[in-house]
Amino acid sequence: MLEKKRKGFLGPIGDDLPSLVPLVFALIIFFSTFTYAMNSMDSRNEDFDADLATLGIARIMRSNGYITGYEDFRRLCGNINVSGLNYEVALVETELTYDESNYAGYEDQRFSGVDILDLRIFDSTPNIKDDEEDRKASEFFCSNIPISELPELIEIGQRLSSRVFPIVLEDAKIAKPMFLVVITWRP
Amino acid sequence: MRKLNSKGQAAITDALFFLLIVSALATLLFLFINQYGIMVSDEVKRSYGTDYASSALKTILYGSVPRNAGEKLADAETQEIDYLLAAIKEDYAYAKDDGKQRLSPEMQKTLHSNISAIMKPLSEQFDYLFYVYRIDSPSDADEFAYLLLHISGCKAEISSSEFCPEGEGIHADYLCNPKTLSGQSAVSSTLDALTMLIPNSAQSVSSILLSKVADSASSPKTVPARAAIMLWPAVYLKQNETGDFASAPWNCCDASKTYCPAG
Repeated sequence: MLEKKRKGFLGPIGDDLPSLVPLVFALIIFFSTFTYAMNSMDSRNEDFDADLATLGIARIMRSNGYITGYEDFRRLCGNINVSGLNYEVALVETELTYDESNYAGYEDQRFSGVDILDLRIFDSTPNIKDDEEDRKASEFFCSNIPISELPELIEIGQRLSSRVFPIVLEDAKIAKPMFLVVITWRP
Repeated sequence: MRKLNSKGQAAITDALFFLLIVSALATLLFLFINQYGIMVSDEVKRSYGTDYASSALKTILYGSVPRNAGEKLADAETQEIDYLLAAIKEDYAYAKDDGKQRLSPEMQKTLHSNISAIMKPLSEQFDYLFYVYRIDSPSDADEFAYLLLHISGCKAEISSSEFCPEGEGIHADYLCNPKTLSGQSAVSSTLDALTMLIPNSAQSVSSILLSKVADSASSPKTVPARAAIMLWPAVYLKQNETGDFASAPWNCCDASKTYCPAG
């Protein structure tokens, strides 16, 4: 009897060995769900922060909804104060003012709406060749990173947050309806 | 021996209960995570809608338009331009004084093309309404000097489900002249009824002063009015809810047709 007992008895831990399987399984479920939940919350919080920052930048740029010229645009860009995010702000023409001849460098010059992956930034002097060092000086564009270091937006993909707003730009004494495009992404 | 066996069963039962509790907790955590941020996301969308509406209204009213119909702002030959609001005021001031005090068909077309261009980034996902409305409730003239409705429709019949089959969705622009058959105010049967049906609408309103010139001898009469834009995520409204837009009280016509709006 005693021998039989000893044969079946694997020790205090050994006897509870089958119960360890559901216990370990439960712990795996718990910790994986917890990690997934935390990651998901972090990711969503970052998205919300990016969205709110985008709206915040757009509010600064929209100001009273009327940009009086290039200097005013640069002044508004200078008021943007965002940390931890990269951004691009640009003015894009509506079809009301779009002139195909100003976009000769593009493969398809026709108006194609606002495509953030192919931004056709408005240039108030498209026919004047800007010098190479300051080549985009007359374009209505600003960013918190140098132009030479700007990544291709298509590579940033899902981390992008963008918003488009209508705005009036006074250019050549015409109040032109334009689109203000704000794009933000996490570095 | 019996005692040892019982101990083993108790331990595995405890472990199974533990697994059950953890599974329930994990399910709750999943449900919580799926719901997490929905309200913030809705609030961000609402905020974007409101900001867009207010920007759009300013841009529509303060943007320039060519004085002559048919010309484009982008054309170098365009000689005369003016603010759109100024053009609206001038057009309304000299509108026919026959009870049809609405903007002229040319002005309505100009306004339509401007609004469509400005609302283009949202026109696939949002429906919108732009109107110029007299707030002095005239009995002898139209309440609405202008009303544009951009609305989504579904070519296929939608039953209980609200989803329109892919490729069946359409967007149409209507120019409307809301008026009830009884001659009473059409606001409640049109705007108020529509507002009740649409979710999460964002609105921007601006008071404007129009004027009316009865004849060259008298001084212009001031007409208090409101210009407003309202936008909402596109929904397929059923005809039994809104009525037929072509008939009273909406009296709309398809803005893409040449005969619309009627003079």
